[in-house]
Amino acid sequence: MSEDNRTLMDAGDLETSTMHINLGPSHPAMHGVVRIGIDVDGEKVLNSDVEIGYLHRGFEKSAENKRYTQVFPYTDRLNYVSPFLNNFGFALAVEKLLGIEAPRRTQFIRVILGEISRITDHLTCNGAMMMELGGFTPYLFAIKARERLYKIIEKVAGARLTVNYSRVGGVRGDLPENFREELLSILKEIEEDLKDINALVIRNRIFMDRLKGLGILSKEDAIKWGITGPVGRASGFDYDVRRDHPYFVYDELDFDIPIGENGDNYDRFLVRAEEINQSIKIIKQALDLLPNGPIQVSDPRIIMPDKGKIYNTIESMTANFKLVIDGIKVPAGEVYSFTEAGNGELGFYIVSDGSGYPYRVRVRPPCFFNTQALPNMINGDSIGDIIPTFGSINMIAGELDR
Amino acid sequence: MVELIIWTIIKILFILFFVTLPLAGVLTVVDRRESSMIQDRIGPNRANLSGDVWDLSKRWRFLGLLHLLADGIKMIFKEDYSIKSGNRWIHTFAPILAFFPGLVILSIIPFGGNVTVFGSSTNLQIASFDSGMLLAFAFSSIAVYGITLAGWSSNNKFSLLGGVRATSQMLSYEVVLGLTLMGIFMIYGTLELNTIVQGQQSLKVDGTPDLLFGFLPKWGIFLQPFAMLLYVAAATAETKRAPFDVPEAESELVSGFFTEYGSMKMGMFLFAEYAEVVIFSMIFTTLFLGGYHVPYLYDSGFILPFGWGSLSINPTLVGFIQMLTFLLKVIIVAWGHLVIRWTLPRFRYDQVLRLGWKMLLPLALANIIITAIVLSFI
Repeated sequence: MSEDNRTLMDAGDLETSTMHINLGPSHPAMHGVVRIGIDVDGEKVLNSDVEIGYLHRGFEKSAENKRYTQVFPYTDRLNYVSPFLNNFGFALAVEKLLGIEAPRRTQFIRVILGEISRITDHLTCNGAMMMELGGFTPYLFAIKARERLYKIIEKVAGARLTVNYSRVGGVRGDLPENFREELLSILKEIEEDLKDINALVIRNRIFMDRLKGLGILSKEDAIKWGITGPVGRASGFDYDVRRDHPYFVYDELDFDIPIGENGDNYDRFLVRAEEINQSIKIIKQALDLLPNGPIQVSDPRIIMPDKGKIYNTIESMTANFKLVIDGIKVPAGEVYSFTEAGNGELGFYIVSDGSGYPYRVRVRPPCFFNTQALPNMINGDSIGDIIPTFGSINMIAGELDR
Repeated sequence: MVELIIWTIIKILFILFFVTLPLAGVLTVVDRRESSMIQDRIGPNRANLSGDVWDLSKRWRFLGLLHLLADGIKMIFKEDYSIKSGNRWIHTFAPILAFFPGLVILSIIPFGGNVTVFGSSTNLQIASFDSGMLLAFAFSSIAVYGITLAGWSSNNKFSLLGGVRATSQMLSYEVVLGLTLMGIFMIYGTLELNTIVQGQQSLKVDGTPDLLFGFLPKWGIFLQPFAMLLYVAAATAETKRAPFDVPEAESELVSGFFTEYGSMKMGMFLFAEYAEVVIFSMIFTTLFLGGYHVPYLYDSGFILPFGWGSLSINPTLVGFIQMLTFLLKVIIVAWGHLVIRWTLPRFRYDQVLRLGWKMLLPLALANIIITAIVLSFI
């Protein structure tokens, strides 16, 4: 059935007229934050127009009026299903500009937590995709697995979603006790959950028919549109920042990058499913290699001293005062730092004028590029195919509209 | 004559108000409970009688069944919204048209054997028509109008698309539905449901049980297993439940044909779905699961196969046992039917039609031909 999956029944000689439908922003599949205007002939989408911007909160402009450390809570709210990845991406950009490197233990912590976030991101995306195809049970299984991770995220960062865990030159606090054992047992449970989910959908004929050969994005188009991440990789664009431009300690870890062949919805689903397995692999390696040591750089111009020292020594009190009033004085210059976030290459372009405030912050949100290509992917398919295609590009409006 | 009228009224009241509607109502809660168990959730547990909201142990929740009451009260007391644009009269009439024709099908379903009460004997079936199942097909077709008109009169593009989808889907699957049952009609030689049920478990002329391979009762499920599978698929599509719920696919069409409905009007559409599940289960039980028959229990009592002995029972008691058996079978079938919804993802609109016309229809025709060939040799 899959070869004629794209051909819809033709009305033949009957006279038809097109109808314009607004999908969203108040539409169950549009998250309330995006509108797709479609022209349909019967069920076939002739033309589509994606309108974004419903969740624009001015992150970039707000960042100009905040000290570098104060920007971190805002980055949580970019891609809110993988907040750690944004946190660490911004921290890395500022560290590059400062010319410092976070301590080795911190780098491992960042890899571990970042991969946890990647798993939550992919579970959410694949889960939502399954739910929108009517598979409510696998969706809740995915959410159950995600919930296990949120529990441990809460233990580490004190919050489930708005973690605000990273700092320039380190992380806010050390990992809790028994973190390793707990995380390993959680990962084991998640692997069981994934087995349940895969058994329900991966080889399910209905599920495959709904996804295969639909929403196709060719490799050339993916590169032309600037699409990276799982969506690009599903189209065959073999690019992963973690491997091609290693940061943190990714070059010491062994992991595979899944590549798709057809660039259709099913490939995007499978690539994400496999990336979850790879992330679990990375986390296990990083937990074995996790060294002891400081979690922050020992530079009082960047990291705040202990509270005890602040109250008892004049140097620390001065450092505290300067950090609170002036912020971290980042040398004048500009940097483009990019990391592999849940949706692809998350770039932070920061211009500094030497003060404690960034002069300009610009984010390269990966799903902005995915969403650009959406009209090309859904034109010619039917109304029912918009939903999985839209789900598979994992549009996160916080990141898209900033 | 008076006796017949009284019996008929009793039977109508019983099957409608003591079986179908309560069962359909309970199914709405069962659906939620069951899905919550499948999905590792707690499920409906808020509605309670004690008024103590905080202490879980003090609540009288009755397995969540009070949600049925709470939902009913909510539906009735919500604003009865009627649209300003579109056709208001048809809009109001559509849910009624979608709900009630299905209930007429109940009249032909035999829900028990022959019982004698106070010296008055009757078959537990409201009406015995020779046309039998044809009446069921006819009235289930009328429900299509309700859906179509609901979609059309709402003046909403999602409703319109949902209505169009529902219409083409239900019309397509009616053809399949009728053809899958042809084998059954050919084997038992009738369209009348009570005769079919009696044919599924009967005694030969010499008083010995008429069994398949010496031990299996001649139920539809054993004689027409393939038709049974086709019928389940077609009937699920006909009741518009997942994986065939494209007319109301909530991720695509918001709520499909009942997007513009509120209060009890929407409640009627939702309730009609569960009433259809009950009716589907009744027809399925009647045609494939031997109706009200308990295996090896005949009018005079048990006659076990392989000569293992027999046990005679009062015929009226047998009648009541059979009635309870029928209800039990219906509940089990309905419960199984609900599980499908929580297991499979949804088809796409054109895939549903393609499945109906290109796969189920040829298979149903093949089933008829094979059945005919086999029957001609017996």
